[in-house]
Amino acid sequence: MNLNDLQALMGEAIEIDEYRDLWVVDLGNTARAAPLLGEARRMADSLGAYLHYVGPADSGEAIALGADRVHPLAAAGADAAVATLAALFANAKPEFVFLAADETGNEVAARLAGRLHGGVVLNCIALRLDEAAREVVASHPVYDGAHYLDSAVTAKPQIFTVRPEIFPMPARDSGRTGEVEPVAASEPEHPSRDTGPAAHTPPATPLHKAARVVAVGRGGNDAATVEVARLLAAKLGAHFAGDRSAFDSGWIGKEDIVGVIGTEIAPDVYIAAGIWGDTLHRAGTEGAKFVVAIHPDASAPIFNAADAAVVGQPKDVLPRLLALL
Amino acid sequence: MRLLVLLRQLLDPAGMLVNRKAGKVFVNREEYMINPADKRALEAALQIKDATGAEVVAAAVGPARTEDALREARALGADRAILIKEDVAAPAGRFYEALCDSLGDVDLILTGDSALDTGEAVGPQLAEMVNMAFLGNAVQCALEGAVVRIVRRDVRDATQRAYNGVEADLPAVVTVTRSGPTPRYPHGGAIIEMYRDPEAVEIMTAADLGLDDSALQPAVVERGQSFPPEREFGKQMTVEEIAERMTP
Amino acid sequence: MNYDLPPEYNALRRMLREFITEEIAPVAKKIDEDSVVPPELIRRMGDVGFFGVPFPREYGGMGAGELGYCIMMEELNRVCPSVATIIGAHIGIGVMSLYLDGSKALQQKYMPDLCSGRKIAAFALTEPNAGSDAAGIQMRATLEGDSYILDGQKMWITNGPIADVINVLALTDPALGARGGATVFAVEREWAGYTPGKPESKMGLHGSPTSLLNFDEVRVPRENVVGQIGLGFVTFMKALDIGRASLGAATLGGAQASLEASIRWARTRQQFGRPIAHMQSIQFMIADMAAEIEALRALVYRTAWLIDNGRPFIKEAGMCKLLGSETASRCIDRALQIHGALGLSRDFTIERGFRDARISEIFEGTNEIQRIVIASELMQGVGVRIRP
Ligand SMILES: Cc1cc2nc3c(=O)[nH]c(=O)nc-3n(C[C@H](O)[C@H](O)[C@H](O)COP(=O)(O)OP(=O)(O)OC[C@H]3O[C@@H](n4cnc5c(N)ncnc54)[C@H](O)[C@@H]3O)c2cc1C
Repeated sequence: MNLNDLQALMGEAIEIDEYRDLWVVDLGNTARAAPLLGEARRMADSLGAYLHYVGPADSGEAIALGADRVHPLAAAGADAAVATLAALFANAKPEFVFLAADETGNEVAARLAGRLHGGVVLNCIALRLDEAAREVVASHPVYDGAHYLDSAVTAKPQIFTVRPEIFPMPARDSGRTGEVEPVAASEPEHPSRDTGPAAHTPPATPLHKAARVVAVGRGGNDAATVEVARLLAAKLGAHFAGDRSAFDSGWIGKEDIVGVIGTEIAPDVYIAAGIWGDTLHRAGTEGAKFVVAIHPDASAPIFNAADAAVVGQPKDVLPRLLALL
Repeated sequence: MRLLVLLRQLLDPAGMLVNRKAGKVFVNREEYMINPADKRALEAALQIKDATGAEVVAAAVGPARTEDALREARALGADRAILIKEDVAAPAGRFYEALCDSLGDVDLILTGDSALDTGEAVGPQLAEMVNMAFLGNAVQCALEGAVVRIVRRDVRDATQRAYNGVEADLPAVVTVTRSGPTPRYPHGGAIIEMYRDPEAVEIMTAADLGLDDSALQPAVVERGQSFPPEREFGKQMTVEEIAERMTP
Repeated sequence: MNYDLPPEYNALRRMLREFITEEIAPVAKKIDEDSVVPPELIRRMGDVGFFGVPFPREYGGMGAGELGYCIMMEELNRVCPSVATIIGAHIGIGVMSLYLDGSKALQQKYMPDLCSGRKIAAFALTEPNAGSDAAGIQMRATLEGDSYILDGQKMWITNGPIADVINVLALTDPALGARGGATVFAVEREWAGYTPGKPESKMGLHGSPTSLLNFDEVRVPRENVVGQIGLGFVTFMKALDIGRASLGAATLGGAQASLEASIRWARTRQQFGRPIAHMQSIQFMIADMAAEIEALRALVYRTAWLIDNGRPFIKEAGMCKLLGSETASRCIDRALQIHGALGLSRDFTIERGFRDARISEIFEGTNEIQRIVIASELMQGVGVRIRP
């Protein structure tokens, strides 16, 4: 039965959706974009659709990781990427587009959505395909990750930027075959110009507002280890502080005591090295979103507030941590 | 020279309690605020106004309560404020695209990089809709003649401490991050005045902007909420796992 | 009846709270320790209007009335009673005297600088020998040509060491005494013969300087008379009446801070294997605080409404001061008890709150005097005239 017969049978026009296939866009950071190929491959299979890859990676490699069609595109700035991809997608009409969620990925995805009158969800941390509805419901953090919204795109194309760490690198299948199609590069109409390195001094953040805090206490610490903690803080761009015992030991100034006696903090990351963690201390760190506690005594109450616990001597643990960063 | 600043009003998280276990967001105090990055975008615009005398027009889409955000913008120094009084899920960009048409000359549009409560990024979408240059994620923004210059974090720099200059010819759309210029405080008297002035905020509707239902279809819809796993305390982790968490 | 604040006042409170949380709270402890408010902070507060809340816009004030003023005092005193006292004395009694009875010329001369915080005002009534018995003042003002010559001493004057414009009450006609023979003068700090003393060392309010003021033949031009000759006592009493409502608002903020700290600590501190919030004695203290605070809040904001609507308010303003200061003292005392040893730590907020709260039972008329004010208002209705 052809389409005309079917329409006659049903007595009304059937709209054939011309948007089809899944696309993974790689803007140059292939290590971040490649994991998306694995997840998109699974979706393509369950939808019976093709998976396209557009980006700078070796086409054989992209195919081995799951792509059916490869569109080689050298890494370029966001303006050029938007111009080229907008032209490409205006013809290809992708149903789903996935990019890695970083500054450039988010910018390009949102601009494409604007240009193509599609819809976009940024910074997704989970994707769930609803085959029947042909939509992806994406979880993405709001309010700085306090919770997630599960959103679906009802315009076409459906564009998502995805945090790369949520999917593993897909297994390589060197037996897969695919096609390579060249892409015609388009010039941006309103290009921006890079003017080179610029001076910017962010305002100093006081301890109570610091996004990262590394603090020391007397548990297993000595002056030399405290210096390592200080280096760790510098490396992480963290505020260096301590508890009362660190102040008593002369390692920190009074203004750097963390706790209700001292300064209350609510950083994104709090590393407490050798801090016992009595109520007075912990009540002052309640707002910390991710707490790493390092203490030689497994019964230290700081562990009751620690998302990551390391029972061990700071003098062993801190240098290893520093070396890994 | 006319600057258009797009503001989003959202629930102040200070009055919210997220219960991961119950899978619920409890709103203890229903108070609203201007999206923090938008407020910095407004500050960037006001600094340009201070330097060049440009006109600053603040605009927002939302229900009647959104007027508060615009009165605040007026108290801070915006010359005009326009509320597009619509409580629909249509992309904000559609309204702003139509608003740009109706305003005529708009040289620079400023807004926050993303909305705290939805993650939506209006700026880059709008830039394409109105066919203007786009500069994203500014921490500084200045005008020089018909060129807009921003400073933003250098995305190629792994230390996250290097900055880069980028410029574009006007008209352009610039988004500002939460590390943008520190917002000023309004004079309390200006707040009182702007609330008592019935004409402080101009009200428009979709119809005024010539938008019909077909233009007001949502592009993204919320299907539900989900929650990070409950925090588990005292879990042992290796130094390697911790190091991984610390790297961006 | 509508208990919702008008929207502009909610917006104002939000802005004030943000400023206070961001700019003042982080330095409140240092202000107490160093006994000084950084001039830069004063300047920034002036820029957003803290120093002229109830005064008209044309003078650079906020035009927010007594209601706005009470909101500001409540928010400020939650966090930093020292700064609240500087502003309370400045607005509530200092500039207020000028605003209530000063000539247009005098208002135009001083109010713009005062409302913006570029200049600070003081209100000088108390003397070494005239405290509660304010009518017992002895300071003289003698007419000499076109000027008055002021001679005498004032004591315990808030903002004394930092004030640029001092409204001072002196006897122009000693025979008539304070009631009928006293006049208010606006004195500038640079004028010859005027010397403020060194700040007093006090139990609390360390950041709010209080001092003696010496007037040695200070020549004051006649145009600097505030209000009418001989009616200065009335001007000062009117200012004090209004000041008492906003002082009540300040104590409300202090009491609220005590309650919030107590709730938080009761939840956090564990003894006998559970948070102390589960101990009934702690619950009772918290419930009592909350109930008293709620009553105080209703009284304070109703009184602000009476003032803004031109209704009689003297009795209610006295009640604000009386009930407010005693509620705040009880609340901080309970908060200290709930915090145990932590409550006494100089590195924590409760100890400072305790020291800062007590004064409210004394200044702007002791609580004994308030009771007399309230009783005399009540007795007047039945024809009994009470004198302290
Ligand atoms: C920090 C601070 C700031 C101040 N700021 C100012 C200011 O800016 N301007 C200003 O003019 N003054 C100011 N004062 C002074 C303040 O107003 C007086 O201290 C107050 O009015 C009480 O006077 P007094 O201290 O002389 O006490 P007294 O009058 O000596 O009273 C002593 C005691 O006797 C009681 N008493 C007195 N008379 C009676 C009575 N008739 N019936 C029952 N009991 C009575 C009092 O209640 C009190 O308990 C300030 C004081 C302080 C401590």
